[in-house]
Amino acid sequence: MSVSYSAAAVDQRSAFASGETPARPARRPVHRSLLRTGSLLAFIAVFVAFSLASPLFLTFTNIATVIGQSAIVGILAFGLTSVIIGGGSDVVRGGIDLSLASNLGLGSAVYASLIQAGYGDATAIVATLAVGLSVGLVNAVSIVGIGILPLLATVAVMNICSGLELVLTQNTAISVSTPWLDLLSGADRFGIPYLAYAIGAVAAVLIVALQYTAYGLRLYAVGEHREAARAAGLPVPAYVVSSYLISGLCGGIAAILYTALLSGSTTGSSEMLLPVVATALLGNVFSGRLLPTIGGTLLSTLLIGFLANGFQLLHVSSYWVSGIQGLLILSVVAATSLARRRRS
Amino acid sequence: MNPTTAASTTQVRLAARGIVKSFGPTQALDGVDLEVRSGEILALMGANGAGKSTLVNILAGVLAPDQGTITLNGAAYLPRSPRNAVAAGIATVHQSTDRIGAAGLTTADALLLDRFASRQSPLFLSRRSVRRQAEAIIARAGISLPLDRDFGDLGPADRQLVAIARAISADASVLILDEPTASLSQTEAARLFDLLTELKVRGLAIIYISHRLSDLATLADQAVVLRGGQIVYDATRPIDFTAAVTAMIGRPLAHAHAIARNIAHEVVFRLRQARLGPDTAPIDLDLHAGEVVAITGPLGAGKSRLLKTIFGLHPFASGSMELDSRSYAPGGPAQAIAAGVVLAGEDRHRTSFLPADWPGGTIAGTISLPYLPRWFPHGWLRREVEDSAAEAGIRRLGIRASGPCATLDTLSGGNQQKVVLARWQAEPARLLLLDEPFQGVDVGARADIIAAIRDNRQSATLIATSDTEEALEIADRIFTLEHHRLRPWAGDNLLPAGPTGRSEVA
Amino acid sequence: MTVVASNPPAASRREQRPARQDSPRLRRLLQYGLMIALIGVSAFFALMSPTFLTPANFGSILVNSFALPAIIAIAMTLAVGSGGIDLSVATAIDLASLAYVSAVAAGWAFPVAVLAGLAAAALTGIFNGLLITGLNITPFLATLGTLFIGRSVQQVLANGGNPVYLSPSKLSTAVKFLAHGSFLGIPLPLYVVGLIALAAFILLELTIFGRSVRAIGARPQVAYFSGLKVRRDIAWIYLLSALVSGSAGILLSSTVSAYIPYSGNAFLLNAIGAAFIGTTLGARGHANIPGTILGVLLLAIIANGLLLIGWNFYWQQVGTGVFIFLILTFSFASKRRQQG
Repeated sequence: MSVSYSAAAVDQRSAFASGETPARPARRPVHRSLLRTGSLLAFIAVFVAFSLASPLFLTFTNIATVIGQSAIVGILAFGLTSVIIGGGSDVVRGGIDLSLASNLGLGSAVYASLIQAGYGDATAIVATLAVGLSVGLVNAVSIVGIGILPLLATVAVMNICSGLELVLTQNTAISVSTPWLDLLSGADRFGIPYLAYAIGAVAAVLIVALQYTAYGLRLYAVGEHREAARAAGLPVPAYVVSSYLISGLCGGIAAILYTALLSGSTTGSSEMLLPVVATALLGNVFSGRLLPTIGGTLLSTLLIGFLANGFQLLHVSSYWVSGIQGLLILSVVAATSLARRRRS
Repeated sequence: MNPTTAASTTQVRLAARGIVKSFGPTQALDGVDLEVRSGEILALMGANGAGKSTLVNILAGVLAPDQGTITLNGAAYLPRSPRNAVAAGIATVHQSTDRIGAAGLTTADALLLDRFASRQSPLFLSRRSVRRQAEAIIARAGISLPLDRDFGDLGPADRQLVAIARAISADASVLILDEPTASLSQTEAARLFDLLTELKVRGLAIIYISHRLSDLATLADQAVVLRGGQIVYDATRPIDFTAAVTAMIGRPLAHAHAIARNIAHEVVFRLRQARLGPDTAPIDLDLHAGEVVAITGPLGAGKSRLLKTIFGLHPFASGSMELDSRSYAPGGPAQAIAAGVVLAGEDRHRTSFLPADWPGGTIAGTISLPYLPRWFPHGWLRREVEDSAAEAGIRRLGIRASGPCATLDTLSGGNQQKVVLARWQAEPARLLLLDEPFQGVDVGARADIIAAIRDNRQSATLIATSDTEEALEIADRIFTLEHHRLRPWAGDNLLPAGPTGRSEVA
Repeated sequence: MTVVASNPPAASRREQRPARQDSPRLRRLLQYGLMIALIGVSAFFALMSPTFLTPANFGSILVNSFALPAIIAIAMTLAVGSGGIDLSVATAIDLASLAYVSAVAAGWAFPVAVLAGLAAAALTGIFNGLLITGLNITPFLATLGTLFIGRSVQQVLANGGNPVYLSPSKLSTAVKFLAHGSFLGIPLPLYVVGLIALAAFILLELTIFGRSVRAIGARPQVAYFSGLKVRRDIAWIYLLSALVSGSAGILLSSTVSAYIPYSGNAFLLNAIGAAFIGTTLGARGHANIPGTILGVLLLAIIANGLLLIGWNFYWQQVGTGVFIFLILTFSFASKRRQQG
C-alpha cells in the first residue's frame, strides 16, 4: 500500500509534465529568490512595524526575552527540520516526527520526577537526554527498520510517550526547582536569558553540522533525491536513522529547558506540537532554494515569537495569534508551490 | 589470475557464464554467456523484452541471478547491491539521468556524491575542498563541466558526463551505458564517442546498449544480440549488422515494412504552426481518417511532449489545432477525451492503471474509468455494464485473461497494453495518441495491437516511438522530431550506409 | 540479501504471465487481520475479566467510546481514501458544535439548529476545498492551516474560548432524544453512526463518485489522464468530510449539553489511527469504511478491556499506544516481506 497524501497537489512538474529528460538550458530560479527575499523583507517589516507601534518592543530586554521564550519551540522545530531534511521537502511522503511534543513532555516528567525523588541535576540531565534519544531511536527503528509510514509511526510513539508521561505524573504538574534550573531560567548579567544562549548554541551546532559538513550534504542528498543517493552508494537508512536521533535529542534538550522555564513538568506539552510543525514548515521560505534549513527554522521561530510578542504589547487579543500562524503557513505554502511550478 | 582467451590477446574483464533469471513463470534470461574484454566496446542489442535490462540489472548489482557465475578481473563477482557493484568496479550509466544527482546540489557536489559514501571523506567539507576534488575528477576524465551550476539545470548530456566522470574517478574497470545517445544531439554524441574511445585506450571495458545502429557501427568491437533471453548472435569486428538485426527481430528487416494503403482524404486533425516552446520551429501536420502516423526521434526531442500537448496537458506556445475542421483547444484531458482525442501515456502503470488491489484495478475498471459519467449518468456503478464492455474488448483484441475482473498485474505486458487500447476503443474516438505503445510488449501481442490499430477506419492514430522498426511496421507515414522540429523521416538510424558504418542523419 | 526491487523487466517472448510473488497464506492473514485482531483481543479480555462480555459493558463501549470516534473516523476515511488527510476534522466538530449550541440557546427549533451546525461545518469544508484545489496546497498543510485558523475563530467567537452551557430548560425533547434516547433498545447515537457509515460506504463503493475519488487517491496522475474531474471531486470530499465531522460535533454537544472549545482535538489522533488501521489491516488494502469501523471498535475494546482488568487509566493509554504500534509493525513488516 502506498497511500499518497497529496491528491490535487501532486507536484505538477514531476507528475504531469515529465515524460522525457528535458534538454533545456539552465533557467534562473527567479521566483524562488523573490519569495525568499520577500519573506526576509516581511520579517523586517514586521519588526519595524512593531517597533514603531510600541515603544516597549525594540528594547533589549524585550527582544532577549522573546528569543529566550522561543527557545523551546525553536529547538523542537530544529529537530523536526532535521527529520524533514532527511526525508525530503514533501513533508507527508517523506519524513516527519509528530512525537516531538510528547517526547518533550515525557522528558520533562522524567526530569521532574528524578529531582523529586532526590536525584541530582546531573543524573536528571543524563536521564532526560537518554529518554529523548531513545524515543528518537524507537522512531528510527519503526520507520527504517520495520518500514512503518513516518506519520503513523511517530503518532503511535507519540501516544505511547504521552501515556508514559501520564503514568509518571498521574496527570498532575510536578513542581521542582533546583539552583541549576533556576539559573537556567534566568538571565546573565547582561540581561540575556540563558535560554537564548541555549537556542543560539543548538542552532549554531546544527547549522554547522548540516550545512558545512559532508554529513549534512549527504543528508540533504538523501532527502532530496533518495534514489540518486542510493544509486551513488550512500547508506540511506543510516542517514534517516540519524535524523530521527537528532530529533529525539532535540526533544531531550528542549525538555530540560522546559522544565527550567516552568519550574517543573506540566501537562500541557502536547499543545506544542502544532506550533512546532508550523514553525518548521514555515522555515522553508527563508532558504534560497526553498529547502528546509536550520537557519530558516530559526528565523521562522523568531518571526512567530515576535508576532506573538508584538500582539501582546499592542494589546491585540491573543486570539488572533493562532489564526495568523495558520494564514502564514498557508500563504507560504501557496507561494512556495507557485514558485516551484513557475520554475518548470 | 588473468585468463586470456585464444581469440583475443586482451584480457577478459568481465565474464558471465550460464546466467539464468526468471520472475515467477517468466523466463527472462536462459543461459547467457558474455565476455567483455578490456579496451573494447561490446554492443548489447535486443528488442524490447529480450532480456537486456535484466542482464544489465544483474551486472549492476540490482538483481541476483538464479543460476550462473560471473567473474570480474578473474575474481568471483557477486554484488549484493548497486553499491557493491560500484565498489567492485562496475559503473552503470542508466538511460534515466535522474539518479545521477539531484536539483539543489551543484555539479561539483554531484561529482563527489559517491565519494561521500566512503570513510575517507573528512568531517568538515569546505566549498573550496569540494570544488578542488571535483576539478581533479573532471581533469582525470578529460572533460569539462560547469562545476558551480545547479545539477538540476544540467542537460542530459552533461549529466551523463557527471556519471561517467564519477565512474572513472572510482577506478571502474567496466562501464555500462544504457541508450546513452537517446537524449543527445549530434555534437554531444560525437563528444561522447571521443570520450569512449579515449577510455578504451585506457583499458576500460565498455558495454554499450543501444538501438542506434549508426552508433554501434562506429563504436562496437563486438556485438551480442539477445532474443528471448538467449544470445542469438555474437560477432567481432567487422560486424555484419544486417545479420544482427535479423537475429534481433527474428526475420529479415525487409519484411517489416507496413503494407501501403489508400488513405481517405478526410482530414481528422490538423496542427497549424504549432510551437511547443517560444522559440522552437513551428509544426504543421494533417492526419486523415484511418491513417496511422508515427513520429520517431531521440528521447527528449519532444515527441512525448507533442502528444501531451495535443491531449491538453500543456498549451502550445503558439499555433492552433483543428479537429474535424473545428477549432480544438482542450484545457485538460477531460475536455480532450470529451472531444474524442485520447492518449495512451508512455508508462502505462503511471498513466493508465490503478493499483491491482484498488477498485478499478481490474480490466473492467480500467476500461470504464474515463467513461463513468457517460455510462452511468445516474451515478450508480453497475458492474454488468462495465463487464460487458470489458468482455467486448477482450474478444476484439484477443486479451489473454481470466475475465473482466482479472486484475492487471496478472496480465503480461502485451495484454496490459491491449487493455489500454481496449479502453480507448470502447467509445468512438477521433484521434488516438499512443506514446511508446510497444514498451514491454512481446511480439505476439504487438502484432495484435498493430492489427487493431490499423483496422481502425474512422479515426486517426498518432504514435510516438523511439523504435524505428516498430514505426515501419505500423505506420503509413513516418516523421522525425528532432529538437522540436518535425520533418519526414529520411530512413536514417536503421542500417549503416556503408562498410564504415557511418550513416547520414538527415 | 538486500536487493533493490526495480521494475520487473519486460517478459521474454515466451509465454508470459509475469511474476506475482505471493504467499497466499500471508495474504489471507492480512486480509482478515482486523477480524483476527478483534476476535483475539475480545477473547483475551473475556478471559481476563468476567464483566467484559456483558451486554451492559458492550453497550457502554458502543455508546461512550465508539459512536463519536467512529463518525469522525469515517470523515477521516473519506479524506484518506482520496489520497489526502483532513486534520481539520477537529475544527469542523468545534465550529458545528458552537453554531448548534448557540442556535439552541437562542431558542431556534431543533432542525434549524442542526442546519446551523452543519452550515458551520460546511464552511470549514469549503475553505479546505479552496485551499487544496484552488491554491494547490497539499491536504496535510492545508488542513493544518485550517486547524490553526479554526482555533482563532473559536477564540474570537467564543470570547476567548469559553464553553457555552445549555441550561436544561433550553433542551428540547428532540435534543434530549438524540443524546439519550433509544429506539428498539438501541441508543440513537448508534443509529446515527450506522446511517453515516452506510451512506459513506455506498458513496465510496457503489457510486461513480466513489470510484473517481478512489482513483484519485490511488494514482492522481492516472485519474487526471483518464479525464476524471480531479479538482471537483476532491473539493466535494473535503466538504463531505467536514459535514460528517460536523454531525459528530452536533451529537457531542447534544450529549454533554454544551459547547466545549477545542474538544475536537482529542478525537483527531484516534480518527487517524483508526482510519489507517482499517486501511492496512482491512481486507482491501486501501481506505475503507468497514475497516475503519472495525478499527475504531478495536481501539475502544482495548481501552475498555484494559480498564476492566484493572489497569491504571494512564497505563491504558500506554497499552493502547503499544498495541497500535504492534499492529502497525505487523502490517508493514509483512507487507515488506511480501514485496521483497
